[in-house]
Amino acid sequence: MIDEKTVRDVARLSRLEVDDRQVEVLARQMGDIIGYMDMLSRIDTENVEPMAHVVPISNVWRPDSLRPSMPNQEAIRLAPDAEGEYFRTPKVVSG
Amino acid sequence: MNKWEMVIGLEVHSELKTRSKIFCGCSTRFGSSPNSNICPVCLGLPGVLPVLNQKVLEFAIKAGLALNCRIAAHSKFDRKNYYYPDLPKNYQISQYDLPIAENGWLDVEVGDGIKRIGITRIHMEEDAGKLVHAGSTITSSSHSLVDYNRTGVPLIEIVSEPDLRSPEEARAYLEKLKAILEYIEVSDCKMEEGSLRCDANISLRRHGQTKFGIKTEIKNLTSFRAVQRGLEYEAGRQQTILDEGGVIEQETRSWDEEKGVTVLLRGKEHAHDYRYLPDPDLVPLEIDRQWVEELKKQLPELPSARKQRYIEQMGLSDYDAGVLTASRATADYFEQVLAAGASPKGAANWVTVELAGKLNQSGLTISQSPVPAAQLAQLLKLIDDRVISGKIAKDVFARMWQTGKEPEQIIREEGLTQISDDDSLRQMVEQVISQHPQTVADFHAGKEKAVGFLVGQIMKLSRGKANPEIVNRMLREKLLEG
Amino acid sequence: MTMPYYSIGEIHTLLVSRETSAEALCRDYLERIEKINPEINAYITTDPDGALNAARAVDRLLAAGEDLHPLAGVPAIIKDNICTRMLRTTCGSRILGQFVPPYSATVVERVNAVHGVILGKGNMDEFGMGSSNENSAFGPARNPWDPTRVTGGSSGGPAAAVAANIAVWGLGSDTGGSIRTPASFCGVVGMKPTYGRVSRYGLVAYASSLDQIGPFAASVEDVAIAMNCISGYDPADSTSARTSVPDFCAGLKKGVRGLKIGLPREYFGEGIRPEVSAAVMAAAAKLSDQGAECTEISLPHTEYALAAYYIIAPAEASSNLARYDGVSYGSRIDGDDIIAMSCKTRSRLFGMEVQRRIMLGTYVLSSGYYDAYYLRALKIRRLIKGDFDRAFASVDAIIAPVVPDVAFRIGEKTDDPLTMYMTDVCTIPVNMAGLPSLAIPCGLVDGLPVGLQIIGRPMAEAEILQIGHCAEQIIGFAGIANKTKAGAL
Repeated sequence: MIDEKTVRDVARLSRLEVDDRQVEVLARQMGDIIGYMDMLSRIDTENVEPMAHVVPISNVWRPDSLRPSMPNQEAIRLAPDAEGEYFRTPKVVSG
Repeated sequence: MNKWEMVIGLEVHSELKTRSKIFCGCSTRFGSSPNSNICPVCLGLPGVLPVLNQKVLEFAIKAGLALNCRIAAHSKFDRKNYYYPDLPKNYQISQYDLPIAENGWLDVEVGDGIKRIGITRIHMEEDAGKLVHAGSTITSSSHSLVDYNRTGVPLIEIVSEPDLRSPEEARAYLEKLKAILEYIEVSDCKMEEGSLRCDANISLRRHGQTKFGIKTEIKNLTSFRAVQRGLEYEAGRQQTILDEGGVIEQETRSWDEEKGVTVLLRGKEHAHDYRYLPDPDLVPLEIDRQWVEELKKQLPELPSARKQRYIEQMGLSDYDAGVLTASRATADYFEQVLAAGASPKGAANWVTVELAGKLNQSGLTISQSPVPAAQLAQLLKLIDDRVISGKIAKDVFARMWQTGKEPEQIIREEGLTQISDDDSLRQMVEQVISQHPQTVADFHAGKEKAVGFLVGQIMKLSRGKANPEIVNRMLREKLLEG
Repeated sequence: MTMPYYSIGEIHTLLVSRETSAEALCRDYLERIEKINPEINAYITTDPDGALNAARAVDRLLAAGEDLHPLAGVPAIIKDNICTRMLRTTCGSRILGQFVPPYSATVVERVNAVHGVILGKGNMDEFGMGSSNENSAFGPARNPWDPTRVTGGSSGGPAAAVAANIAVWGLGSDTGGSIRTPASFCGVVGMKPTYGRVSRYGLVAYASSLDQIGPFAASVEDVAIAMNCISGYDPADSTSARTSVPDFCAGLKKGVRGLKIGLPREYFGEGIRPEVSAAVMAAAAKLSDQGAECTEISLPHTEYALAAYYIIAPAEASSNLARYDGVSYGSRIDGDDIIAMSCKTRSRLFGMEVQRRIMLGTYVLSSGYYDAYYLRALKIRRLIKGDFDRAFASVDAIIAPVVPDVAFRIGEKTDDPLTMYMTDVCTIPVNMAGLPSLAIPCGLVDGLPVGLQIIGRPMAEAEILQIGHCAEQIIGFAGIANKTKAGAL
């Protein structure tokens, strides 16, 4: 069961805005999906190691050497808003 | 703190001095023009992937070894998810449950003794960018500007156990930690440039109580002084609340250096849920024991060992040895002075007093000293050989500092050689005695101070060039004769 | 305008013999795109100038008597989540609607290095999240066999383009079936390589531990040629394998004699349309006739794969897609402060399926739910991998259906996400285990293509291509397709 408060909390954590109608629909849909996932509790996974990587690769690294950076203009070109050499955002508030 | 005991733990972030960033080839240089050390990878553009800089791992292991940690056999990177505009991916690549090093300790000198402070863990992570605010504060700005140059600069976070019991201890711990990181040459540890940053956790409990109280976290402690003052303030704030029967809220506070207070940053209800997950873009680390052993061998002599050696083998005082070994650069300079032939005690005195004073005045670090170690050693030799007096040496040193010239040249050019020949000195002694009959009478009346006055007059007459020891001896002989 | 299906090999011969020029070929394809694409919506962006420039470069090489790679001058479509320098890369999303990458993906560099001709960028479900290509901000791609039906997803554009011959070959990406499902629905060949075989650098991440780039083409041989080009170690991708890359074309004609092929019973039972099972079984029987040894096997944790996938993939996605916040690139919708701006940007410019998966992923990672969902899913992933490891101890390859049914009608499943997710039930376990799998058409049901997949051991692409090539020859699907479809377009 996913209640509407959970949907709102998860939306806030995800930086998403959901209106009342969407909350209702999402609560139902996510509830269905999570309900389906609860089948996983049927198997005993007590002694199973979690598998985050499927291929047996480890210790990949590069030497500490410099590579050319991007020209500032090429990066700023991508920005929705910029000021001089900076990216610009609306005022920062904590949340 | 009367009935309350402080419980403090520090979380220290230290930028590693690699050439390139942790996951891309951009430069880590401080002070570049905005958004010039960036590339698709550190900007977090769609589709890019991180590749670990091996030096970061090496430096983190060295730090772990120097702080007596157990180096992990298996380690990995995780994503720490939170939204902030200086974090382009809105997650930070960090380490969660398998940090590179754990369970270490650091001996810190507090009061008269040594206290062992536990190191919980050391982990590697990427730094974030910087926000520049258009207004005076974050909240009064209508907008912010973002500079991503610092994004992806490698960091280690060193988390201490809650073993610290006072702001002084916290400061001493931090200073020692800084010294060690500098010694092993993994970080510049410049608090003013943000390459060493500190957050502090503090709670109070009644003396004798074993359970911890509710803690607050203090951020924005940007200097050693700020760490100490911030903790002092926060301890006082908590004490007032507790004394009044109140309850401490678990929250994050920010130190306001100007006002000298901590202010609420966010409460428990806004605590982040970081939703850590193993970073699927970076593969696990299986740390080779042999490599760790090699790195261990490469570690230089650490401050405690060096200090001990200075005391035991050179006969320096605990204080001098402590000052000399507090930074690696100072200790290295000191040893260079010795290597050039100076005696330990003289060198210690000159490095900790004269040189330190000049450096302090001019805001230079010891590696920027205009007087190289070899020249200081020459100066000390001239004193030992009685070519000049200690007093004149100070003037010569000042001239060396200004001009960069060798001490012998300065002495030659300015005619500063000490007068040791008996005839000219005897003349001066006689002259002074005849000019100050009253003082001579005072001496005979038992006033020992009179000798000092007369020596001073002779030194003045010689314009400081008289050898004070010989003057003293001759004067006494003459006075007793007469 | 009809145009015969030329294979990559045939085009190569035409170019080298100077019977046609790369530029003329490119113009033909650009014309076909103009005529056919409006109906099937396979391309989000076309790049006539870039394509013609690349084609002319090939003609100059030919004139200079240089040796050509088989893919030189061959027109291709690249899924729009694979970054192309200075060519818009949208991921099927409004949030990247104007995004022009400053760099190219490693696979694109590899295609460019052999002088491939990139016609444009292929339609897709937004950020790869979908099984039908209906979740594209640029409208659904339509199935060339029946434009009222879906192409399958998420790489619907490249699959449809190859099926409609408005590209000779293409690159897609497969996270839970996103190459194989549209290949199956559109009646073309598609390969999901072993995880790590092809660099992911420049592939816009959906679920990084599952994503893999792979080719589409009209034949197994063409897929093998494309695999030769794109495979190999890339120092820019830490998860890329250092394993050496064989010539995938070399052993194609070796046949299947003596090979052991497993038919997992879990893939042929409940939930799979009987006609689909029958078509796949019939193909297996034909392989037996060719000397393969087909046996029933069991992959007991199959039924848990879908649930585990829809935990792991959204969890990674919730983190991967956090970067689209309107701050430093991509589109932005203004707000009074940074949080309002980011929330507006994300909720208005991401489609609902993407938002749903981000929220699901956030939920399964959040404190209190992590162990019950995310951690458990990672453990189940190991069990699923273990099933395959055990199976491959006794068989050389596994044959199974790709999708439980043929292409459904556009709009048929959009209201019910969970039912839509079931589309991936046969393809997901392969991604969970990181294995290679080749989807080839094996027949028609209701006049629509049905696919089968050949799943191999890690890094055993050559073996499954060999089996696929043999199956392709004995099934003769190309002949069926020509009779039923080619005339329509």
